Amino acid sequence: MRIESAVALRDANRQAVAADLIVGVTVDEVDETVALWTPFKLACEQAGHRSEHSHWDWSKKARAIRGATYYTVAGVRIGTEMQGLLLWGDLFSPTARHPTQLGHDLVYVHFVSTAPWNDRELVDAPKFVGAGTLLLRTAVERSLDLGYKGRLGLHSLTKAEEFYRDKCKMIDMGIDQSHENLRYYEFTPQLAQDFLNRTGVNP
Amino acid sequence: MTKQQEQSAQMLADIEEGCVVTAGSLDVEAFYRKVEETKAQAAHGREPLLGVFSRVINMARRDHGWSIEQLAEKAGIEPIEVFRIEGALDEAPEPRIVSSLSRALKLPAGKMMQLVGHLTVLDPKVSGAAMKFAASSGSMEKLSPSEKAALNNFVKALAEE
Repeated sequence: MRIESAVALRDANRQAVAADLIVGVTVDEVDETVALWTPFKLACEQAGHRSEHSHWDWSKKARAIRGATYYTVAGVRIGTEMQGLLLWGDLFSPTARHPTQLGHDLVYVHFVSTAPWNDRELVDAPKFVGAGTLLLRTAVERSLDLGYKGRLGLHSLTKAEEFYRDKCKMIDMGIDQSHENLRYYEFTPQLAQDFLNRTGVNP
Repeated sequence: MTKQQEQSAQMLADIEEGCVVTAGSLDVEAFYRKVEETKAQAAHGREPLLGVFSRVINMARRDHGWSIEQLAEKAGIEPIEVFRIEGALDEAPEPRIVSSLSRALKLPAGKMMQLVGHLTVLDPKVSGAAMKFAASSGSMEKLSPSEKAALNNFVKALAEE
């Protein structure tokens, strides 16, 4: 099921710009996004800026999950330009690890990245700021919709740890040796609610 | 753009300012393997209970005295989705649809999620109750006059050239 809603992101001049939040981004839209992102990414790489996830192929990911309704790709678009993508799983997913939530279902974020022109790994001055946070908020809202009470888990790439720990205030569950030694972070229901409140969602 | 959207944009940016946000897995091949495993798990899940889910939705809708269109409107989904669910389901409806229908019909969303295989844990009480329901709710039920009329009209339409 595809849902589109009106949102806004902040641009480099600190002005809010109208955007569309899409839950259920299609394979064609992902292909268009990859076609749009790739030249910018390659230009960055030629200039010596390479991201940790430069080998990610969103088109391949979108094709892999096609027909499996328990995976969803969400995106935020301004005009015709996708500003970020997030892929979550909402069943058959890992369950919560925090001792107070152990074994309960959660929404698991398999992948999230912003457009290369918004990626602080590649550029000093992003074109738009907030796409990743908006997509994370959308995944938390899905968790609430499903009765998972906002529980959400993800593995952060190393350069994003500060964001999830200090900015989103997710619980750092430590290095996960079963997942490439990446740190695992989790929202409990209370922390998820706090996060929603701090991102402009009214209780 | 509303004032609330504008404020929200500022709040989102304040959180993300100066940060890298990338999360996931560097070993993407592991993800593809996991997807295939998950698809296999889903395909061999709880097919018999899907039929129970369909029947519960159908009966709960009728108990409320709603048409398919009315239920779809209350749940915020397309009528074709309700029609599909009340028919023969060969795969689980999306979690969001299960959740919306459950809310509209005042059914326990968590238990309904279990029925269609959307929660990793299946409470034996739920599966037991579902089987009992399946065994007792089927063939004894007579069609109401309006159902009979609708069926007759449908058969008549099918018979027309």
